[in-house]
Amino acid sequence: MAEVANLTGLGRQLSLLITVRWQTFRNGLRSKSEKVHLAGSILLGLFFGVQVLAVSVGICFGAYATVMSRKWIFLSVMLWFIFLFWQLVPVLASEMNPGFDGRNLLRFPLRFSAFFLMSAAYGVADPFALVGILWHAAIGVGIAIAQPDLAWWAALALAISVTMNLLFNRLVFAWLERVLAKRRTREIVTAISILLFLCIQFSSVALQRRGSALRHALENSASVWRALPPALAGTVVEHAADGDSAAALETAGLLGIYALVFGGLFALRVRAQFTGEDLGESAAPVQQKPVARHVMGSLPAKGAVAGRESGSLSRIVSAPVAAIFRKEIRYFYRNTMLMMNAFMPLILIAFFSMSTSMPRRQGGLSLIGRFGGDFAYPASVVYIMLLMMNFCPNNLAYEGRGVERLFLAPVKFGDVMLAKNLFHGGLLALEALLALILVTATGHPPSLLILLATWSALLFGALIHLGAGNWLSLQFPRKFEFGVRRQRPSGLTTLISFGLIFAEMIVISSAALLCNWLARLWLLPLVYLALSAAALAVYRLILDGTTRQAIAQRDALLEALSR
Amino acid sequence: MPEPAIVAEGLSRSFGNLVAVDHVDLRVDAGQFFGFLGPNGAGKSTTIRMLTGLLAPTAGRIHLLGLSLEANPTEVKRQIGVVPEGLALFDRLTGNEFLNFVGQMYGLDRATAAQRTAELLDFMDLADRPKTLVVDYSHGMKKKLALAAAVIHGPRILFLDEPFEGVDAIAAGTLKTMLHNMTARGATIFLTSHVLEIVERLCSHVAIINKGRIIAQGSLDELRAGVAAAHVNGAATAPSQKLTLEEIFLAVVGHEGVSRKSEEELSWLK
Repeated sequence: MAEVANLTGLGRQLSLLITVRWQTFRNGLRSKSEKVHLAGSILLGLFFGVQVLAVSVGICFGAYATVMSRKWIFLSVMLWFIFLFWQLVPVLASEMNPGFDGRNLLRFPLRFSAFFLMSAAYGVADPFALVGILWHAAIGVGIAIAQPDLAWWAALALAISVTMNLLFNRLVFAWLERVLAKRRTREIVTAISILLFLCIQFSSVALQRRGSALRHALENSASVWRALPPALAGTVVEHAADGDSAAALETAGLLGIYALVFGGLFALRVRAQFTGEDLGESAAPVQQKPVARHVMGSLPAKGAVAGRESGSLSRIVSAPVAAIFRKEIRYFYRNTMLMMNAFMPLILIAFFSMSTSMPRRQGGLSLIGRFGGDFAYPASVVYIMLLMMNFCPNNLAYEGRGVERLFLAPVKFGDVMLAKNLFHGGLLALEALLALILVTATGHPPSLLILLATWSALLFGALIHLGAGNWLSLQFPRKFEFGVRRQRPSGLTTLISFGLIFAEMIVISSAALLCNWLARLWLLPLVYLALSAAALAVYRLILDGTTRQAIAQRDALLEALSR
Repeated sequence: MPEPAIVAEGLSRSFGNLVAVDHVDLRVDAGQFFGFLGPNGAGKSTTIRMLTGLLAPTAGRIHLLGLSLEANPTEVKRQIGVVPEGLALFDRLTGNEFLNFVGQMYGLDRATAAQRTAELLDFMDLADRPKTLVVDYSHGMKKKLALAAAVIHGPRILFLDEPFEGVDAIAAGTLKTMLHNMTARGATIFLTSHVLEIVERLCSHVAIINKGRIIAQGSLDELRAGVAAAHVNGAATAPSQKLTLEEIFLAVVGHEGVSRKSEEELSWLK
């Protein structure tokens, strides 16, 4: 009889899990593209890290000022701000946190405690959580500098607050994971989160109009929202500052109880997973017919019929290009993320147009109001360009295993990219047109000169980005899943895209300034058209090289996109 | 002598230090139903990926229907159909949309692609769920769809990597009839499968690859004769009855070493 191994200890199990995660990460770095992605991510992380640090300094100073002025309500406001950031932004930015998919560990004799601890600890791996912890620390530092004898109380209260935030966040995501396990639900929730995001955007308009009333309401209800978990750490410090240690301890205990309740509810969810709950999407049941009805006789005879089809698109391009173009349209309207990326600019332009149409004393944006459509329309188009670039530089991301089909078919890869570029270019043109309608509808149509200049500049920018996007898509491909947010292209791709936009803006602005200085603004569309002609030459050069590049990159592409 | 449909000469492929396929020579005549066998990791899928243009060989030449794959990739691809290992489906299209797409990628006009799509969906028993996305298909349905996509343009050579895995017995029977009819019309079929009974029933010729090298190639009778001769030369008793493909495979690949290993090792499992 085979010998059965003893159950491994909790510490050993945790250490094994950490080791396997590290090995997964390390082995992932064997591929060149992952190394490049890591390098790009580090650079981007540094960029955003500087901004987070700047806010940390502000929070630290705010905490210091709060203690010095004894206006404790501001400490509660800061803690609420951190809470909302920690809990809400990840939901808005992503349906699914960095998922701890522990189900594949369940085949092992894993202890529940190890499974629970790993599930909870995964929350710390989220960048938003790290930012939340950093900002808590910043509050602590501010308090300690202002009044050193409060340092220990602040440390205790903030540590419990961090634990509470972490467990609440894990609880929310564990339930979200439960709700979002099915693809259709995921897409519905994505749509709701988009609406929520828009509500927040539009609520700022309401704040501008009724800001003082809202402020009063917040002040009057302070006793309520300051008693809720996010603000309790501030109350602990307030009691300690007043010398009421008993009340401070009592409040800290209450905060701890909240953390325990959240942890308990989270444990219930983890327990369900631990006992084998299957959240996976099962394949649809197949209604099998008893007997196949056909014999081979009806199958196509050999020899493909090459030729032009009757559709209008195929009069312009070849049948394969038309087929890929149609496939892109279908993939677009079945992909909530792409739809959101594409139409978000228009919704925000509508929002800004609303602000623009408001009288200045009601919060209308004075700059746009002053220059009207001649400012608003080019600005809108730049914004559309910026967001459209989300998918051009990684335009094979959603192909999945289908990318093999593109290599198997008798089609040059240049044609594949051409079809994708036609689709993206068409979308860009459609959005530019809709933006024009929106801006015009607010009563600020751009002048003909600005309209022509904007469109010719758009042509220049689009050609550069589509060409560069083709190269980047083949060079640094990254696979995206449908219905999942917070998927980023390679870090280097993002950096190069930002760099390109920056360079384009310099060229476009320089040309505009030069024409303005020469007092010959009418030259501007012609200058941009000339630039577009040069960009077209570059684009064609890149497109011609695409087939060769795709063959050279074939192994890496198939590895990255169809695994 | 019939024109060879597939010719590979000195075909090799390395991944770093690992030589996955090592100087493989293959010749498959037009109209043959050819089985390509080997143990796991022997190099079957790597070979089929090279033959279909999904992977560049490190060395060697490939000619399909007399055309060099390297020099005429587009023309060669127009003549072949493939069911690759991963099926290469576009998950977010319906079966109907996918087949139409593939047909047009192979240059069929829209009307022909639509007509053949309808016939194939009906033939594969996939027509009753026209609005279902491929992502929601079962594994067997995906396999049938991939097979339909491989034949929609009427290819002259069909490469099938494990085509019957996950397909139910009824559908498998229909597909086998379809494949036989295709070879009867002159098409060549190159098939890999781990189910040796299927290969034995379908294929007239077989090649066996092990550790990246072809170790046996020919008609089933030729392979039987080879194994029998090896037994005689090895002073073993010649098999008195007709060898099955499984027996040939085990004899050629060498299962004895494997069973000895399992007897000697893993004693803690006893």
